[in-house]
Amino acid sequence: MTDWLLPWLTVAALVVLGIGLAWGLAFSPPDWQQGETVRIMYVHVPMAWLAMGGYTGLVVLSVMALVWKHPLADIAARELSPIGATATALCLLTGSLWGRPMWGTWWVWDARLTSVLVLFFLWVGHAALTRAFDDQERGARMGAILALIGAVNVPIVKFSVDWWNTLHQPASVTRLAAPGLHVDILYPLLTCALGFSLAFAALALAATRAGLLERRLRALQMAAARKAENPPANDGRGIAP
Amino acid sequence: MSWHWWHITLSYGAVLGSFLALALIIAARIRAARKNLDRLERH
Repeated sequence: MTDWLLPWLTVAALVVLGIGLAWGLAFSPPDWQQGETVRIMYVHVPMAWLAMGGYTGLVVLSVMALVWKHPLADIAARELSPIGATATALCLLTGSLWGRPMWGTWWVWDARLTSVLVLFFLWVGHAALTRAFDDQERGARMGAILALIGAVNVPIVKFSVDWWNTLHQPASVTRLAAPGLHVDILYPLLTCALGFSLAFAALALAATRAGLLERRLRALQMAAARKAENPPANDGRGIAP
Repeated sequence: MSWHWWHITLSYGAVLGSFLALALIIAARIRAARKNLDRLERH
C-alpha cells in the first residue's frame, strides 16, 4: 500500500506546506499585539497538535500491539516515537523562541509547558525502551505499557490551561463556537497544520516501511547465520556407490 | 533584520530542517535495507 500512498502523501504535504508557509510568512498580516512574532505560531501550533495527536496515535498502536498482538502495530509504534519526539522538541523550541519576545522569558515552569516537557520525555522514553532489548517483541511490549501509562498526560497537556492558572494562553483555535483568531491568521494556520500533518504521516509511513525492511533483513541474516553454523548433516545416504 | 525576525527565521529553520533531516535519514535506511536484502537474496 505504501508504494502508491507514500508518493501521493509526500507531494500533497509539499504542496500544502508550500502554500501554508508562504501564506503565513509573506501574505498574512502581523498581529495587533504580537506583531511579526505571530508568524512563529504557524509552525509552533502544528508541532503542538502533532505532539499530542501523534501520542494519541501511539496509544492506539500500543493497544493494537498489546491486545491483538498486531505485528505491524509494533513496528509502527517503534518507528513513530523518534518522529513524535522531534515534533515535541520543536514545539518546545519554537514556543521558547516565541515566549522570549512575548513573555520576556524563554521558559516558565507552568502546567502547560511542564506537561509538554513530560510528553517529550515519554516520547524519548518510548523510543529508548523499544530499542533497549535484544528481544524486539519484549521491547515492543515494554514500550506499549509505557505509552499506555503516559496516556494520562495527554488530557493534562490539553486541559492544563483550563485547570491551572498558567502563563500559557488558553486554547484559541479549538473553541469552534467562537475561535479567538481572525481569519487572516486562522486560515494560514490551519493550512500549515494540514501540511505538517501530511508530512508527519508521510514520515511515519516511510519509517514503518524502513522498519519492516530492516526486520525482514534481520530475519534473513539470522537464518543465513544458523545455516552456516549448522550445515545439513551428510551421513552418506543418497551417495551413489 | 530585527531580533523578532531572527526568532522567526530560527523557528522555521529548525522545523523545516528537522523534517528534512528525518526524511533523509529514513530514505537512507530504506535504501540501505533494500541494498542488503538484494545482496542477501542473490546469495
